[in-house]
Amino acid sequence: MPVISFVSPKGGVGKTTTALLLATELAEQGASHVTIIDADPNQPIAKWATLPGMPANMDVVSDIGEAGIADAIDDARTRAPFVIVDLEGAASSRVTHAVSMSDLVLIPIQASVLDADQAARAIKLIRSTGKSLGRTIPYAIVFTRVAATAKIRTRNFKAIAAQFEQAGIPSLATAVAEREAFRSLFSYGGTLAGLDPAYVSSLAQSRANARDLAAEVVHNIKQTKAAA
Amino acid sequence: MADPAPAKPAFAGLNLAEDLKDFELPTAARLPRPDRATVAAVSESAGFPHREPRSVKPAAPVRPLNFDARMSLRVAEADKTRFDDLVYRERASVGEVFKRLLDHYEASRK
Repeated sequence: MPVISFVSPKGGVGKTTTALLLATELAEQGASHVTIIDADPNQPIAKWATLPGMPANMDVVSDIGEAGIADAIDDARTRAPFVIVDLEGAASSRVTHAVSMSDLVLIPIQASVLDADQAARAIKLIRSTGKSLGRTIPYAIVFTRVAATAKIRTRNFKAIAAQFEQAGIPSLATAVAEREAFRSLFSYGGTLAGLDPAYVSSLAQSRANARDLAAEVVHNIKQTKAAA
Repeated sequence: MADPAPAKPAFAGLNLAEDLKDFELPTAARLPRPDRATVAAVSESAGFPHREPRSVKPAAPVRPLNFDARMSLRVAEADKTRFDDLVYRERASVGEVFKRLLDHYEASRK
């Protein structure tokens, strides 16, 4: 029953989109149940859930305050094998409570120094929390909104990725591309599989991207469990 | 006839559907939870403070309305200035200062 939290003190880095992609892909690919905890005060995923097409093996818990986040995660992990927590883009204790109960923390960033600086804050928090609790909290950077073609990587992307690698900060090999299909989820609801390729471009590539993300995250968690 | 192109393998050859089988439905048993106070302390020190109001702020006590009679006075301009200055210095209401003046006057007459 892994708890996977999406953390960044900065807004607009792609937390919600990446969280929703991961959750819907897990639900589509055979997870028996996926719970998303929408702990963003703007409740973007709760709004998505009001649109048609949410898989039957998913549920969304929203309207979570700072005091209630730990209880919400605790409840969710008794009923779902995957709990995805989408947090607000702010530095608050709600983030720390979620981190403290996570099996994997993903830190989405776009390839910019501003995002990287905020990611460093999140990493510091994760390490401090793990240290105070006497356990290692696994985490990884996820690059978001990158060019769809891997060959077209900006200098910023390469420089920031290299800096993280040199600092021993893990990052997912799968980057979330800038895709119309991902934005369309919030317009039409449902999953990538439910979108109409006549209206959404590059749907097959978008689905492959989301599947790669989910495969890598699940494999990452399996490896961490095996090593523990 | 050539074989159809094989489906693109998932990330690095990982099989997501196969991996997902290892994640069974959880039991109802609760896992141990981290100590809330410890988490709150580390959160504060890392610059991730509590941002919601901890409790509803108690309402300010209702001030009893003791000075509810209206009086209009014609006084000298200089006295009005002195009185206004006194009210300002005492950091009190006009009615309160007026009452203190009367109390002081009566006390001085005894």
